[in-house]
Amino acid sequence: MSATILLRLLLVPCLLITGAPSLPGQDPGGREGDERAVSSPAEDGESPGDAEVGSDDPPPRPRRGRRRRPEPPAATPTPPPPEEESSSEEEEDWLAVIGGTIHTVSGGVVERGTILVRNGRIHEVGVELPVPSGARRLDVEGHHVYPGLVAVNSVGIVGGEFDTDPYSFTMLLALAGGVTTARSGGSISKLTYGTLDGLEVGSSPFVTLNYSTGDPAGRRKLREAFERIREFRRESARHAEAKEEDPKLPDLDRKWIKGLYATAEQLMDGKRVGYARVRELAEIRAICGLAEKYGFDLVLDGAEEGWIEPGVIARAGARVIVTPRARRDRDDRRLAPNGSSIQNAAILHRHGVRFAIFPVGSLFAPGGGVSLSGLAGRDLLHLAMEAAFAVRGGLSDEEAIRAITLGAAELLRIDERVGSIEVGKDADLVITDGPLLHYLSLPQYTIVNGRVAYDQDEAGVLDHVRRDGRPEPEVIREPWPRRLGDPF
Amino acid sequence: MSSRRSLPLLLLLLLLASAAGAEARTVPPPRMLVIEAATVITVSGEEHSPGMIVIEDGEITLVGQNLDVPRSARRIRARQEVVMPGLVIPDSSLGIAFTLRQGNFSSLSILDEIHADEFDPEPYLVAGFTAVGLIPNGAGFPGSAAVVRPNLRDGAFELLRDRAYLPVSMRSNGRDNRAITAAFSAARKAIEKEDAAREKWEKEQEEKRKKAEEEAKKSGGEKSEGAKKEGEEKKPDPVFEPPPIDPNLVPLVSILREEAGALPLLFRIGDAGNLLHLQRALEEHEALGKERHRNLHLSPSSRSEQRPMVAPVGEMEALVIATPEITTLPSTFTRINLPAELARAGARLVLTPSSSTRAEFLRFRSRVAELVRSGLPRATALEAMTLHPARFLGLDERLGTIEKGKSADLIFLDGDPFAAATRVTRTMIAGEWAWGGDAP
Amino acid sequence: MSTARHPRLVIHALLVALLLGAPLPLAGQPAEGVQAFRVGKVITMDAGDTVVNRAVVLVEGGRITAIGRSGEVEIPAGAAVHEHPDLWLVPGMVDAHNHTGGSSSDLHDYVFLTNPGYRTLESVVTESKDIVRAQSGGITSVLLIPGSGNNMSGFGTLLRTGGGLVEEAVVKPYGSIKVAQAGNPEGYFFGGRRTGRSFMNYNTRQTLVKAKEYHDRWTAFETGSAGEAPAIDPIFEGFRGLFRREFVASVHTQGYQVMMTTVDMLARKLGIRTVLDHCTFDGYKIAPLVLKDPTIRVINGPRQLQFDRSVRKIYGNAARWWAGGVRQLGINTDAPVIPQEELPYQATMACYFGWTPYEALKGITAVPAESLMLEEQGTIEVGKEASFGLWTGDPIDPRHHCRVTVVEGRVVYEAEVDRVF
Repeated sequence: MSATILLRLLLVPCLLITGAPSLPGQDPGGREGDERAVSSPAEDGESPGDAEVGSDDPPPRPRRGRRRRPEPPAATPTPPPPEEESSSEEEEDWLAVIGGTIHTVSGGVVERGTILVRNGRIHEVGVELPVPSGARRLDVEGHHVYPGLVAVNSVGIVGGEFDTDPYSFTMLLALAGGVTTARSGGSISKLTYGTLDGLEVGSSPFVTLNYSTGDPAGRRKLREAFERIREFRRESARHAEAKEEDPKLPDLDRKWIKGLYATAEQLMDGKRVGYARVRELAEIRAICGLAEKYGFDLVLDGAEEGWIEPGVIARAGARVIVTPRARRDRDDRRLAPNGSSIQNAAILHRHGVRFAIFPVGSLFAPGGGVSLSGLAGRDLLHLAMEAAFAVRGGLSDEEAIRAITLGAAELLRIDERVGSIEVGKDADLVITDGPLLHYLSLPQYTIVNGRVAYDQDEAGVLDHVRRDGRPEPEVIREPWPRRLGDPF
Repeated sequence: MSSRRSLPLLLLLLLLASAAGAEARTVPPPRMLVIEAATVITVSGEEHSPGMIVIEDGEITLVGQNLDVPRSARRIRARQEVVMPGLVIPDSSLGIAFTLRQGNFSSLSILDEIHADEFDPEPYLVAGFTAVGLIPNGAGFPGSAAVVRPNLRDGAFELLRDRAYLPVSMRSNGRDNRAITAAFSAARKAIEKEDAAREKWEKEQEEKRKKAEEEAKKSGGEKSEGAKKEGEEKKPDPVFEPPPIDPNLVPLVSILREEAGALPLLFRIGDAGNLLHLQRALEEHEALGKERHRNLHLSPSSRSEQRPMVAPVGEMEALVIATPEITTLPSTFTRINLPAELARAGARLVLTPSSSTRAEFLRFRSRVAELVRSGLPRATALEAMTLHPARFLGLDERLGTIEKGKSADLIFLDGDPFAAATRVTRTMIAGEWAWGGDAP
Repeated sequence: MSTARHPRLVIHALLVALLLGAPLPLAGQPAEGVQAFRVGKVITMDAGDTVVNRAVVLVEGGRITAIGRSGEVEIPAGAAVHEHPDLWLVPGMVDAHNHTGGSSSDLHDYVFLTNPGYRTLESVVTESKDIVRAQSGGITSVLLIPGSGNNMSGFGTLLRTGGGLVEEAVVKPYGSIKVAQAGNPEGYFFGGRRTGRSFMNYNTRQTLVKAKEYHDRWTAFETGSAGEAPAIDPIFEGFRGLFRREFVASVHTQGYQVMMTTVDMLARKLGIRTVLDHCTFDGYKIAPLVLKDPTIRVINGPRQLQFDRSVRKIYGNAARWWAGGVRQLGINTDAPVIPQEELPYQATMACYFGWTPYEALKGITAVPAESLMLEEQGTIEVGKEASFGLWTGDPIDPRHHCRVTVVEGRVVYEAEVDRVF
C-alpha cells in the first residue's frame, strides 16, 4: 500500500476526534434531537442579522456553524470553478470557510467574508467568492475568524517531528484554546492533531544568552566573544578585498570560531536571535546595550521592568515576550521606579517596541502548558485572556490580538507562514462564537494547515457550555460596552 | 555348481526372502487414529456435531460425520468432548529473561537466549497451546522470534521454525522512530554500497576482458589459440565478493531487497500516535509497505488513544495481534471492544494472552469469551486463536485448522471453548498425546 | 492622628488633596462632609437587581445617602463632587477566603490539630502590598482566615481594605470560625496523608461539642436556670457568638463525602451557620442537601474548572452548582493561591465555563457579603456602607479595570495616581 494513499486517508476529516462515543445505540445527552439550522447565503431568505427595526426583542442569537459533507448543494447552481484548476482538480483539496467576520490582523476586518483554502494554504480572501465544486464547506455565519494563535513557548504539547504525540490530549486542549503553532525548546511545530503531516514548521531561531548580573565572568566572556567576532568581520572584509587582487591568498583561520564565538558570529550575521530571560531594568539595559552595540536581534523574555525605560529596548530593536500579569512587587525603599506593571505591553507599544504575549501560569502549572488542575485561566488554554489583560493595561484589542498571532510569529521568525490571514500563508484559523477577547467566546473550530484539527462538537470536551447560544443577561438589557466612552 | 551345493544357498535365500516377507508382514499397516467427538470445530468451515476425525501418521486425512473407518483403526472416544485445533500463541516470552537491551540486534535469534532445558512446556499444554512463538524482549530490534512445539516427552520443545519473524518496537515516540529510521537507512546504505561495489567490480571485469581481447588481437591469433589448446588451465570465472555487512543489518537488507527468505516484520505499537510515527518512519522504503510486513502488535491501554487507528488499520487489512481485553476510551467510562472493532474494520485479528504467565494462559479462553459476548463474532474469535496466528508464523499449511493434510494438533475440551467452566482435558500433537490422554 | 505612623499614606493624601482641592480625609475613619459620585452606571445588586444609568450617588459619614439619576438627585452645596461619567459604580467586592490580609508568616500556627482559641485578629496587617493589590481589584472587604493545615485553625477576621488602625479596619473581629473538614489536615501529624477522617472528624466534633456545652452552660446561667456562674474559658468564649448564630463557620471542604460530613456535622447536628468554601471536585453533587437548609452558603473556588474523567468533559464548578439549584452562590480566590486582585477574574473563569455574568458578579459582591453576615456591604443601597469600586466597564471582563476604590466613603485607591492592576 503506497504511502500516499495512507497519507490521504489520514486527511479524511472523519478520522479526527474520538471523545464522544459513537458506538451504535449511544446518545450522549439528547444530541440527536437537536435540529441545527444549516445556513447558506444562497439558500436562506433571511439572515440572522435581519431584526426588525424598532423591535423590542433582543437581537437573535448567532447560530452555530455546521460543517457540511463534501457534496455540491442540489438547490444552488454550482458557480463555475476559477480557470486555473481545470486540469488537476483531482489532486487539489479545497476548503471554504464561509460567512464569518474575518480578522486578518494584517489587513483589517472582512465582514461576512469567505476564505478559500487550497492544499492547506490560503488561496483567496474576499466576499461572496465562488467555491470550487467538491470543496469542503464550513459555514461560520455569526462567528469570528482569526489567525491561529501562536505560542512562543510551550510545555508538554508538541515536541518536534519525532517526539510529538499527535493524539495527545493536551494538544487537543491547546487547540480548544485556539493555539495552532507552538515552540517547544529548539523546534517549532504545528498542533496537527491526528496526523504528522505538516507538523514541523522549523527550528527555533533562538540561542540563549546568559547575561545575568550575578555572573560577571560570564558576561565578560560574552562581550569578548562579540568583540573578537566584530574584529574578525572587519578583518574578513579587508581580506576579501585583498583576495580580489591576489586570489592565491590563503583563507583566514576559522578554527577558533566555536562555542561562544560561533554563537556570537551567528548572532551578528543575523542567522539566529538572541534570547534572554530578564526581569530587572539593569539587566535589560545591559543586554540591550550589547545588542545595540554589536547589532544582533534580541528577544527579551519577561522584561517585567521594561515599561520603565522602553526607549532602551526600542533603540536596540529588541522584541519582548510580555506576560501582562507577571508580578514583581515594587520595592518602596528604592526611589527609582521599579517592579512590574500591568501597563507594560501598552507602554512598550507606544514606544514602538514589538512584542508577543505569553500566559502567566499558576501555582500548579507553568504558563506554557495546559493544566486541568483547576486553577483556570492562566495557561495556554486561555492565551486570549492573557491578551485581554494587556488590553486592561491600555493596549487596543487589535494590538493585543496581534501580539498572540502575527507578533508572536514575527518573534519566532515564522511570519512568512503563519500569524495572519493572508493569501499564501498557511491556513491556520481559529473560529470563535464571539469576539476572541470576550470571556464568553469559545473556539468552535480550530483549523491547522487547512484541516479541521479541533471541532468543539466532535471533541466533546467543552461542547456542553452554552449549548443553546449566549446567555441573555437576566437584568441588564443594554449591551455591555467594552470600551471607555462607549455610549450607554 | 552342483545342485547339492546350491540347495543350502537356495534355502538360505528362501529363508531370507521369507524373513523379508515376514518383515513386510510384521510391519503394521499405517497407523490410523479415529477420534469420535461430540463436536468438532474445524475453524476452516462447519462445526460437526457429532464429528469424526481420521488421522494417519499424525496427519489429518478425513473430517466429517458418520465416516466409514476400518475396524483396525485405533479409536479415541471423546463423545463428551469438543475437539478443536490446538491454539497458537505467536508472542510468548514465558521463561525468557527480561532485558533492557535496546538497539539493532536483528542478527540474534531467540534460540540463542533460551535452551530446551529452560523451556517449560506444561503451562502451554495445559491451556491448549500446541504451537508457541517465542519472542525476545527489548526495545528496538531485539532479535528474531522462533516457533516451537511444546513437548513433555523428548526434550521440552520441538523446533518448528527458527527466525519466523522480526519484532520491532515502536512504543516510544522519539526513541523508537529514530531507531527504526536509522536502522533501515543503514540497511539502505549498505545495499547502495554493495551495488556500487558490484558496479565497480563489473566495470573492472569488463575492462580486463577488453584488455585481454585487445592483447589477444595484438599478439596474433594462432599463437594465443595454441597456447589456449595446450591445456592452459581455464581459470574459474571470477565471482564478485560483496563487502562485508554488519550482521545486524543483514536481515534488514534482505527485507529491503524483498528476497524470498526475508523475515516478516512485526511492529509493536501502543497507540494511534505510534502508528503514525511508524508509517512516517517506513514511508520511504516501498518494500516495507507490502502486505507481508503489515503486522502490528498492540498493547492494551485505557489511557492512550487507540481508537483512531481502527479505520486505517482496517483499510490496510493489517494483521493485528491484540490481547483479549475490553478497554475504555481514555478519560471516560466508555468501554470499547477494540479487537472486535479492528476485526469489523477489516483487520486480520490474532488474539494472544494478556501476559506470558501460566495464569493468563489458563484464563485466555475465558477472556476471549468475554470479547465474544461483547460483540466479537465467534468465528472470528476462533480464527484469531488458531488459523490467523498460524498463518502469521508461516505455518498455516500444517497448523491452525482441522482439515485434510494438516497436522493433528488438537485440543479436547469438556465443553464449548467459550463456556465458563470449560477446561482442556487433553492435548494431542501430531497424532500423539502431548498432555492428558495416555501421555506420560 | 499619628502622621508618624503612616507617613506614605499622608503624603499621597496630600498630593490628592492638592490635585483635587478636596478636604483631607483622616485615614481609617469615615470621611466627613457630603460627597457626590457622578457615574455612568450604578449596579446596585439590590433585591430588585436595579441598574441606574447616568447616576449620582451621595455619600456622607461613610454611608450612602442617595442613589438616583443625575437629574433627579440633588447635590447639596459644598459637596465634593467626583466626576466619573464613564465609569460603573459596582459594590465593593468581598472575598470570603483570604490569607493575605495579615502577616503571611503568621498565617498559620500549627500548634494543635484543633486550635479553638486562636484568632487572626492578632495577625492583621491593615496596610500592606497585598492590601493595596486588593484595593486595585475593587475588593473592599476580606475575611482573613488561617490556613487549612489542621482541622480548626482559629477565628477569621472580617476586615475592610481601607487601611488605618486595626480597630477601624475590622468589621467583625469574630468573622468566622475556620474549619478544614479534610483535604489538607491529613498531613498534620506526620506529613503526607497519614491522619484519617475518623480521627479528624472525631476531634473536630469533640472540640465543637465542648464549645457548645460551654455556651449552653453560660446560656443556662444567663437565663437563670443554673445557679452559679460557670468558669470563664477564654478558649471557648469566642464560640458563644457562633452558637448564637452571630457569625459563621467558614469550612474548607470539597468532594462529595467530605462536604456531606460538613453539612451534617456543623449545620444539622450542631446548628452552626455554615459557609462552604472551595466546594470543588464532585462536591456539587450534594446540592440537594445544601438546598434543604436555606442558611448554608456555597462559596466556590479557587478551582473553577473540574475535568470530569468519567465523560471527558471540562465543567465549570460554579455552573454545576448553579445547575444543581443553588442560587446563593459565591466565588473566592483563596489568596494567595490566586492573587487577591483577581477575584473578578475568578468570576470570569466561572462564566467562561458556563455560568452567567450577572450572577457571577453577584457572587463576588452581594452573595459573599450576605453569607458572612456583613450587612453593611455587598449592595449599593441607601443606608449601606459607602464601599464600592469605580470600573471602566464590565468588571468580569478582564479588559476593564478598577479606577477608584472607595471604602467607607474614603478614596483609598486611585489608578490615576498609582496604577497597580
